[in-house]
Amino acid sequence: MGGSTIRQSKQDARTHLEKSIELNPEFTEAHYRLGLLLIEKGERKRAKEYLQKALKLNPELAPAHFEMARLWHGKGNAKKAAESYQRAIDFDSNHALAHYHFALLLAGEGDIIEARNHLEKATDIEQNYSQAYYQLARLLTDPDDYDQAQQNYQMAVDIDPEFIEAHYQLGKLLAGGRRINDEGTLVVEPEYEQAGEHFAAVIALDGAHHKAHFNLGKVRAALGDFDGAQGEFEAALAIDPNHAKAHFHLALLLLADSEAEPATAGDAGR
Amino acid sequence: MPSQRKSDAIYHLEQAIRLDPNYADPLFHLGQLLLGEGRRSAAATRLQEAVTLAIASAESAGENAVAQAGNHRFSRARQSLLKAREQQQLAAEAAFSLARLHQSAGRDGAEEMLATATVCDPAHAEAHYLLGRVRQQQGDLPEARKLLELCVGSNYAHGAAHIALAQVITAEDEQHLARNHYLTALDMDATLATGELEERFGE
Repeated sequence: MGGSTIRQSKQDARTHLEKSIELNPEFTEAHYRLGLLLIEKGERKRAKEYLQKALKLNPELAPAHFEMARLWHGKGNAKKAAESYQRAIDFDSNHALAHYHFALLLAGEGDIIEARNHLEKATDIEQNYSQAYYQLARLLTDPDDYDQAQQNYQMAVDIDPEFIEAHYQLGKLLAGGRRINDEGTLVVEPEYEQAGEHFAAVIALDGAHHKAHFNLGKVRAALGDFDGAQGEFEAALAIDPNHAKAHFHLALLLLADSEAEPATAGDAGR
Repeated sequence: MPSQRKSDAIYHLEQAIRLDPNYADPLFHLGQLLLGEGRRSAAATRLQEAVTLAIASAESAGENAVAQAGNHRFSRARQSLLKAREQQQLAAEAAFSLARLHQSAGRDGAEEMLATATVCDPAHAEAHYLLGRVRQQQGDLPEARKLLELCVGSNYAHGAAHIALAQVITAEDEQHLARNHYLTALDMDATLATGELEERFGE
């Protein structure tokens, strides 16, 4: 279906929904559907009026509370958004999207524990919800939560193998390797091989991801593959010549190599 | 003449500094590199910049850690503390290199830089040793002893610090301690201070 056909269909839908409301002003579903259509068209103020009307007719309509929450969230009104998300969940405890977006709001407000609870709930309800696994892993930044973070990133990329940011963050987690071991001690045990695989996956999906090139360079250097590392740092700089850390790490690599260079190599310029 | 790779390294360090003027690490490495090439004045400038920036960066990370902990974001607080620690160690290394440079050139400022290194990294054995030796030469034996004890506390195998400690321990009732330090130094290296041990203790 072409773009103009879709536009026409939506215009027709709008006309029919408006007509339905005209004929039956108490038609809850029509108010809700028209609200959704107006959100899609960017007419948020009018959308809100229809959603509010739908909620007046049926105060337990969870999807309408959720859409209201999204509108408040988008406008930066965290308090009203939180109230609406909560109502959506109160009336439909299995509303995975409401749990997910409420979690993002809570995380933004610094309530990490509640955010984690809602993300866990979202993944319980919708077990293929890759974004929820990813966001949950993003919140698990404590070395104590290393294994859990790894599992959640892994779930995200297992569900969606083309999930670039999940591959990238999993690579960073594994390359950092900062965790609490069984004895309760903070240890740094990087898993470079695995980390490299995830950075390489990012690059395969998006060759212009300069941060993945940079991090793959660091991983290759740590594994002793200095030529490979140099290639990655140079690739990062070819994409973003203003990447200060890539310049720095490339310099360190060149310095290490020039120190190892035999005296006779002199200025041959390899 | 530097090799091509070294020239390239200098280019990339300069780019890193230009792109992120608050990035102390490339300043430190460029300072070290210039020092290795005998460009002492340029090296001193870069190392001084590295000290100043790394200290500022450590302070900023420390303040951030306090703020994060205040907001119960303990994981972020821990990351900031680790960053603060890294930057303090970088400041100490840069200050120590600069102190050595000042000392070898007979310029003022070495003591101040050694003191900075010991404050930034309380486990920097060599900075404590050199500052202890400076205080010893100035006749401030109690301060020298304190610094030298901190040195061997961080690195017990520092033979020269044990000898210096033996030298600054002059009280009659502590001669056994001085002797122990001589003996410890000898354990590390049999060529160290045999003459002094013989002269003071007839051994």
